[in-house]
Amino acid sequence: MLAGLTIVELGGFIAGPFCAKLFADLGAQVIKIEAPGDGDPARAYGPFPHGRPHPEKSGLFLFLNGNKTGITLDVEKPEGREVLHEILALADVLVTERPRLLYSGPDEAGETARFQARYPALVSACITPFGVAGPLRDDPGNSLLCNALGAAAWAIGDPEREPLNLPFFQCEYQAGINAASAIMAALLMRRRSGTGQRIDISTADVIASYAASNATLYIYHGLQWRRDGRRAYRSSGCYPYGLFPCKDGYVCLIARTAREWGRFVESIGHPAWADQPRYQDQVAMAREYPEEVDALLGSALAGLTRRELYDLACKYEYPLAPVRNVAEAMEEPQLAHREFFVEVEHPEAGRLRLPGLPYHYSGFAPPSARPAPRLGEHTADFLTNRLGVSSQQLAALREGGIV
Amino acid sequence: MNPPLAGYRVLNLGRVWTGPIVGYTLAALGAEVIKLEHESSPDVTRLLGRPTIAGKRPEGEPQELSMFFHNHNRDCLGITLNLKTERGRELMLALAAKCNVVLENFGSGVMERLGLGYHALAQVRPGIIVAAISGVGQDGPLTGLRGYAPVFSSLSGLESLVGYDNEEAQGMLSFGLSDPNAGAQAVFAVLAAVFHHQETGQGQYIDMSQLEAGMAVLGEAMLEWQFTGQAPGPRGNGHRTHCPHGIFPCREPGCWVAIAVECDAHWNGLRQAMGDPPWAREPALQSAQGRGQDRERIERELDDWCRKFPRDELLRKLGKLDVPAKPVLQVEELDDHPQFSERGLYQEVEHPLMGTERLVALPWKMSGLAHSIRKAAPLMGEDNRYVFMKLLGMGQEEFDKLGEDGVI
Repeated sequence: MLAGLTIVELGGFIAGPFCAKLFADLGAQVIKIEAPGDGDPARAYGPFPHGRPHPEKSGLFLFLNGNKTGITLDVEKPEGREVLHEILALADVLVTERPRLLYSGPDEAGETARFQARYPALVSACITPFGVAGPLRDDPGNSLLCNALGAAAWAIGDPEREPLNLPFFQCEYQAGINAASAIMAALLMRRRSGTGQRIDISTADVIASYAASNATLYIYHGLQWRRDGRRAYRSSGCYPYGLFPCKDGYVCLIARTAREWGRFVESIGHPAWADQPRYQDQVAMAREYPEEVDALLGSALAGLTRRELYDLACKYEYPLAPVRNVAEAMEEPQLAHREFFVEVEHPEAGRLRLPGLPYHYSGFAPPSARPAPRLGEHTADFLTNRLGVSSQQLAALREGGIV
Repeated sequence: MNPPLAGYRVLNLGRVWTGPIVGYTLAALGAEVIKLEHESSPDVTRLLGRPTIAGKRPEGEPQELSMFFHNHNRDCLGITLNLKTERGRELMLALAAKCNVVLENFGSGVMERLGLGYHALAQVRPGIIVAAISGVGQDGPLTGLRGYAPVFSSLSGLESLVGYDNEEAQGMLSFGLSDPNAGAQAVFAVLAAVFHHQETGQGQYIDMSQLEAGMAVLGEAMLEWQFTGQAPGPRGNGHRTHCPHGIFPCREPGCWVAIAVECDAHWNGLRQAMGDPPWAREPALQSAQGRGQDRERIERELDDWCRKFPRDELLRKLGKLDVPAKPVLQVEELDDHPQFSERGLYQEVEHPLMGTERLVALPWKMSGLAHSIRKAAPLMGEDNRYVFMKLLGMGQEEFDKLGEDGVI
């Protein structure tokens, strides 16, 4: 789909690598540049097999970097900077979380302008916590802080306890996805104009935009947008809308219509309470006495397993699903049927089962998946074959710790 | 510079949240996006009842006043067309023939049953890109499964990871990540298909699964399961390698700050901000590993310390010493925070019934594309005349008959 595009990924941890991964998975060549020595910080993050840290076995790194060409390069040294410029001359897109690697110092504006003049057709995307421009541009940030500032945390967790972060770096993934689309838009523009542009994606902005959009469902309807434990706040105005305990875990039950609620009640044996008008008014149940109805549901669901409830929901046609852990989710036959997972053999980490593309194209079959590169795996090959670096030059670069 | 999709036309049958995200994004990129509904089958987010805005209840048909609908359908044209009628389906095909992209998020197989599946559309418009966003995909044993977004994120494992450390899952039902996540990924999938089409002329049917979109961001958790034989559960606000890393209370009730220590320098700053108390000086706590092993105590101490100060004072203290910290904002505070007021989280637009209304802008800053929201969401059928008479070349009489026959 995107074969022919060359993406350079530099100075990243999660958002940048995930953004570049979306291109790699559609066949673009992604050149991942890591610092010699430790490489990408995700290599140190884990999870690791048997909990033993190893730079080639970090689950986060292995997930984010499949299908990429991996080279090492110290871009902070002048010789490394020169090589970087040669690489950028081949690139359509640069993705970075650290724009200051490229332009910094007292004359940042001048450097930025010179950089753009040197690569007029390059699309460069900076993904940072708070943006390249703006009042917080220099503040350190990470997933937790973007999630807090972007108001997501405010709406997650128990109302009596501290707000919660989105799990497993979801903030960064969303920033990466938005950046990838902005890059595609810039590439489409370049087709017409011949010129590239600079993209500034702030993770906090992305999360705030999701929060503010979702909040319109609440704040204009007499509801606050805030956390309410396992329920959407006041069930988002219509009971039930939440996670409910059953015999062996939780199910997610949402019934937005009287018909759905009626079918649910019928499916659990139509208990006597259900005939009272008090338990037919979904708006009142949502806003006035949700705990009372939760308790009734609690005793009705206590004897049923997630599987039994799920079967009932499918039979009676109302929206309910088991809350599955990741291991259970991976066993879903639907995913096997759609050949969702990709399997790769990593020389050090072994056989890995990873998520594949969530979109199937009629006219594109993803090329067979390659595991994430080992640190510097493609350095020699790439420098020799793409940049025409001689073996003596390569040796000198190695000697100097540049690659 | 011309916007990237100037000259493109998109027919958007997408409803609720995911489909409209793709619709308004393509519109922001310059495409003419036509939202298709009908009185007998409106986008259900029109039906949330009369809203209250700044203490007032605006006049007009409630279905024209939904702020959720307005937010997610801005910049689109609106037509009505009854796809349950034969004439309606004929006209939909005639319209598709004039479109580059068709978006839908009906249940699996619905378009096919209406005779409006990919092959029918590709026949009237070779090279067309059709994006079908469904809960679980168009084929497989689960197809037909009914649900709202959290149902699919529960199946994907995503909800099971949200909660306090080592406790049972809380989920994130108010936040609702599943829809914007799938919508954002669908935008990328469609733009990639457009890019490919420009190169090759090849059309594309995109079969997008919301369940799979949820799993596509869980690779780290999947590998944890494969590496340890233990499926991960909630971890609260903790970090795999750093400590302290969490959300702590301030003096004002219900006010919180997030503090993320990510290296020893941050820890030293934090110690200093706290006045370097004896407990924090213990040698064991001077490494990330040592702090990680004593996480509970550090968090308890930090909790006690934070509670002494109002939020702003606490943030000033921490900021002065370069300790990464940010307030937990309520959505109502976003507007006034410099990050979002200066970078333009919201934009205002004029709506015929609401007057000036405030919508959430696309969070992309691009040097070559100043995208501002150009127009409010359409009233039901607002652009029927333009679409049926101008685009499809229908005469007045024929157009009037569509109304009489319940086709539009």
